[in-house]
Amino acid sequence: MNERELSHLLADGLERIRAGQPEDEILREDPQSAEILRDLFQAARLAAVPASAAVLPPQRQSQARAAFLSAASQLRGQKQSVTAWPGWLKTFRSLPAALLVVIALAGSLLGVGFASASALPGDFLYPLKLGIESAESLFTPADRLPGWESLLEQRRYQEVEQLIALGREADVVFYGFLVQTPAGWQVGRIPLTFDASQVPPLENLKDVYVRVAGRTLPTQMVQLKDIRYKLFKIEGRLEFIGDGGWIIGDERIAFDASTLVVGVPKVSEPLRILAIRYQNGQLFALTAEALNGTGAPALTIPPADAESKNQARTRIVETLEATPQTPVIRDPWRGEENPAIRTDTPSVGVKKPKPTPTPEPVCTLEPTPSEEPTVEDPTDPPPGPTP
Amino acid sequence: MRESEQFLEKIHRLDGQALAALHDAYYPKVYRYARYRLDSDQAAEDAAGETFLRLLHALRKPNARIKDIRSWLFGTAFHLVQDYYREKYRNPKEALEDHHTAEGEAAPEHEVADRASREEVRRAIRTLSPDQQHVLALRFSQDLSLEETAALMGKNVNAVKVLQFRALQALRQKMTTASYDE
Repeated sequence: MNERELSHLLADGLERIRAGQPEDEILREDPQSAEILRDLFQAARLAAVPASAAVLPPQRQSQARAAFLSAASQLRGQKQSVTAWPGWLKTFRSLPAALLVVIALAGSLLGVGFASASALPGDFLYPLKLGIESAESLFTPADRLPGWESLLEQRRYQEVEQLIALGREADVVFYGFLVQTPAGWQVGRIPLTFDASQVPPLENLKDVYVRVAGRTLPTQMVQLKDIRYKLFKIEGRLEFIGDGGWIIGDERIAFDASTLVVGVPKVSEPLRILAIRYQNGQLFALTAEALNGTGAPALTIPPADAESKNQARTRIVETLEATPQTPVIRDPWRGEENPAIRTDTPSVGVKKPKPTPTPEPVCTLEPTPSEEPTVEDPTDPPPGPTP
Repeated sequence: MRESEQFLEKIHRLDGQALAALHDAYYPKVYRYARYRLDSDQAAEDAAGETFLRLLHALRKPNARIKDIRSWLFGTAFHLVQDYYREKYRNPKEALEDHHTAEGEAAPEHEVADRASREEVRRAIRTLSPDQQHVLALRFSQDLSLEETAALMGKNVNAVKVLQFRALQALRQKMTTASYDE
């Protein structure tokens, strides 16, 4: 085996180890090159050793940040001076005075940045906090975006908890699982209140991860204005197809006859899914689109009880349309054994093509006269994993 | 204009908020890269700080356009590390002092052993070619994929695979020789 072939084998092996496959399993596949690969895997483990200690203390990072922003501030001043000193700055033309101004500006900029980190909805600095977060999102690698978004959602939730603890009123948007308790409806531990005459069928969203818009009240509740599913977009190579479950990457996504499927999902081919997440962590696919370009007809899994499954499909579609009379959707996994996952082709029935629905399921309490979409943009970056 | 382009535009204007976000996002990574390749925390901090200062100066140049800031930062860090060793080669006295002022004092026994093994690996890595060190640092200190590493190094993926293979093979040999020497 030449160097090129070995380098491919090594790269492939390292990727698989990173993905969690046991080293021995990889080595068994090719006994001829097992010995040299074992040595190289060991060298890779050694190469990762120095990285384990390369963590910078937060205090040192803050100091570096302050120095960097101070230098930037000085350079910005120099850039301006190329043209002319603005009238109000002429007072500071002497170097010591200018330096003082620069230091004060850098200090206040830094101070504002730090202060905004603890801002709450309704605070003057809160928009700055959101701005910094969205800027940070731009520099988050695509594979870490789900984790980053999940972190932001946790922050939104904690902000609402703080507002409630302080008894402050503010408009808020936050995320969590909708649960029904003897005391009433809650998102996480945050109690909700709403106008009974406009109560949507919250049962439809029970135990599902939702996005809530509302206002915190001094009564330590949130006045509900809008509540909708948070949709999870999962796109990737389909690894397994089982009875009622797909596996893509690390995610297992349940489906049933109510899932609207476009094309024919096949193992090893790409699939795009819009799903909701239940409190037990289970993802359930509302729609699935095979991206193999076959243009194949829509497909559903033949249910054991075809009639009831067709009703389930209707219920999902009605929920997507967000009618206040929407009947209850049941978690298809609750109380059921997880079906065994097989790698063979699914036992499926092929039906006529149906369009993939794009609307987001919503239960809107307040009429929205504006053009605010009731659909979460499916082109949004993939949302967080297990919230 | 796309959001990322708008952000780049702000960086080029030396906008304070954008620069702060950039620093928060990348300084720890550049430091991690430098620490992987350099022999002291202080040298790594100096290299990371200098990388960001050079970025400011590059942005200040008339008609400066940096399209890929991440590549620029790691490319600059790579050159700074090379400069550091070049300088050290010219002044070997400093190198000896550095070894004595390594990390901390009076650590538990297992930590001392960990450090010793870490330093041993670092020393072995430093004997590799600059490109081999670069590829190991990007792959193992940044956890970058082959594709990302190739993009940062301006090479194709196959070339990176071969480079990685040679680097690990050389590291293995160095470590084996070192253990025989002991």
